[in-house]
Amino acid sequence: MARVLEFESVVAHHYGPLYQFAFSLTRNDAEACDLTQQTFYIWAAKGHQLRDISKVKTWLFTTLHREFLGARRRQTRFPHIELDDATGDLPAVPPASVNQLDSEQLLEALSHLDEVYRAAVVLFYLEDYSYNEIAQVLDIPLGTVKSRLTRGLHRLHQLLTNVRPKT
Amino acid sequence: MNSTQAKQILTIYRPGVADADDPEIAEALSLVRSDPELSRWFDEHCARQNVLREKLRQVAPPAALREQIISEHAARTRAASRREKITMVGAVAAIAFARTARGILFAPQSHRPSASQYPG
Repeated sequence: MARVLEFESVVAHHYGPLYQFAFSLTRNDAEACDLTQQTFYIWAAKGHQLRDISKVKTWLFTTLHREFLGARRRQTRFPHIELDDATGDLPAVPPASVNQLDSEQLLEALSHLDEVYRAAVVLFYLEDYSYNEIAQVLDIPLGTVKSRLTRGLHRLHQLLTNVRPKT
Repeated sequence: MNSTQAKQILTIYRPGVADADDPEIAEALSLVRSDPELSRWFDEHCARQNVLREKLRQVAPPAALREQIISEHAARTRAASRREKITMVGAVAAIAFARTARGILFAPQSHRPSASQYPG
């Protein structure tokens, strides 16, 4: 009984942010739900192996990201394309015009980012993860996190300058 | 470090998060205080970051998702427990059968007197 309650408590705390992460990666409600469920399924089977209970959140995000990459690899329909180096100033998107965008438009812009950058950018905004935590979730070095964030944000802001707020 | 380099570094700065603990960002932030143009850019950047963060967090999970996860977990747990019970009962039955079979097959022959020992 205690284990059931523990499972329900972990779900209650983390299913929302995990779904948001999954949806930002996939832009598909059904896929996002599947990924979230699959993550908790793996948690139910292997979560007891986690010694440090404070790492539950990172563990769940890492697992979801791995599942996402695994599914993408199986589909093999997303070839990896390197972005040009981000140079120069960040494109100036006035905060007021960003304010006029809705979440849907932001997600649409995010979906045009290469997957490699998208995951880092979503974790950056969604969860207030530190650079080190993002490195842990994505299993990449700290320097790579910073360069992916710089390039990803640069590209995202470029995309946002072309989005017209809905009237 | 000049103003352009500082902007590049501060691209990944978020207000309200411990990003300033990063030495590179801390150095860029110290430049912000002494450069009015950079300071204006930085204020806009922080406002933009806050808005983007808020917008992304507005994505709401489907109402039924939590219940679905919990009920599927409960169903899986019940099924696993049933499988465990069936396996256990099967194992006990197999042991009992093996013991009975062994008892029948390898029991020492009894020394009951044969009919020829009772003449008449």
